Amino acid sequence: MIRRLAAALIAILLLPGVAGAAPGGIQWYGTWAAGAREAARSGRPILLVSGAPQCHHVPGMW
Amino acid sequence: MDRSFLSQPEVVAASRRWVCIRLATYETAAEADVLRRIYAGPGGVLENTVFAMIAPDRSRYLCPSGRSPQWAFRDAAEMADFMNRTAETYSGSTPGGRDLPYVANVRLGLDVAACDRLPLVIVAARTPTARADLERRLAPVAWSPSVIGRAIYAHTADPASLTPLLGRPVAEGVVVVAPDAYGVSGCVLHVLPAAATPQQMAGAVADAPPTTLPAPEEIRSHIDAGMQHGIHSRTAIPVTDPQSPPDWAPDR
Repeated sequence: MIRRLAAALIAILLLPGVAGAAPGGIQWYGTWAAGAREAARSGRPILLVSGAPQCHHVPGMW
Repeated sequence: MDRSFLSQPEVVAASRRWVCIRLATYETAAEADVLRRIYAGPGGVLENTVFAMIAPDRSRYLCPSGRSPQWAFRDAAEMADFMNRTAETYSGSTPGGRDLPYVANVRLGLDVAACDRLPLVIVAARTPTARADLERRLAPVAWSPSVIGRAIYAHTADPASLTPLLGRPVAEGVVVVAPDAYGVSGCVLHVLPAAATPQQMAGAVADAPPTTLPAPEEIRSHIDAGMQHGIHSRTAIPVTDPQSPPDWAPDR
């Protein structure tokens, strides 16, 4: 019984994305139009940030 | 981009009841105008970062706006508490039906995905109908608890334009890409056909290798290596932050 439970648990943990998967961060809308539209539709408040996805004009770093 | 607040678990958890919008500051003139109206530096110039919390009908600000959350909150705990209490006042919000949270285009998507060290999920569809069909299956996956916040999304109506990235043309479907360090190309992880199921889409996104944000000391080496290799980012509109260094390759 215990062996079966252990085997099942290992099988579950080996599923992609389950074992060791970091929790997701904030899910961002990438455009003002889409986010504003969703806020109006859903009635949820807006958290807005902006940044430049480049550092010293080198991309890949905020 | 802020690291000390926006990546904290309590703020991430609180964000689930908000609509979170993150713009590339210098990507479009129209969005730059929106940002400048929210916050502008001395002389009315748009600076690299803007922060605001806004009512759903955009009638008022919910906290002081500025360059970053630190302008309004002592720490992440205070910010999360404020977000949770504020969300309660809008608790009658309409659930479900959220669209895919696209960035403006694939090029920007690769760059942002590199910055966040997340996979880029590209919806490739030639027609609005085909795109809507893919989105209908992918959007619930994107907002599901196991996938939310773990990918960047972009779309293209020209799948052939992905050929340099993929090494072969894609008819239509969903492509999951791990960006390179600079977000100028990437490694294709999955190519799903137009008929892919939501379960296949979820598996493809979840299958992306986990990564961590770069340590602060890595930033300088990233910049130096980028300059040495001539990897240069040109913004769609000029950078106006007075603290930004001059463009080291203005003619590129």
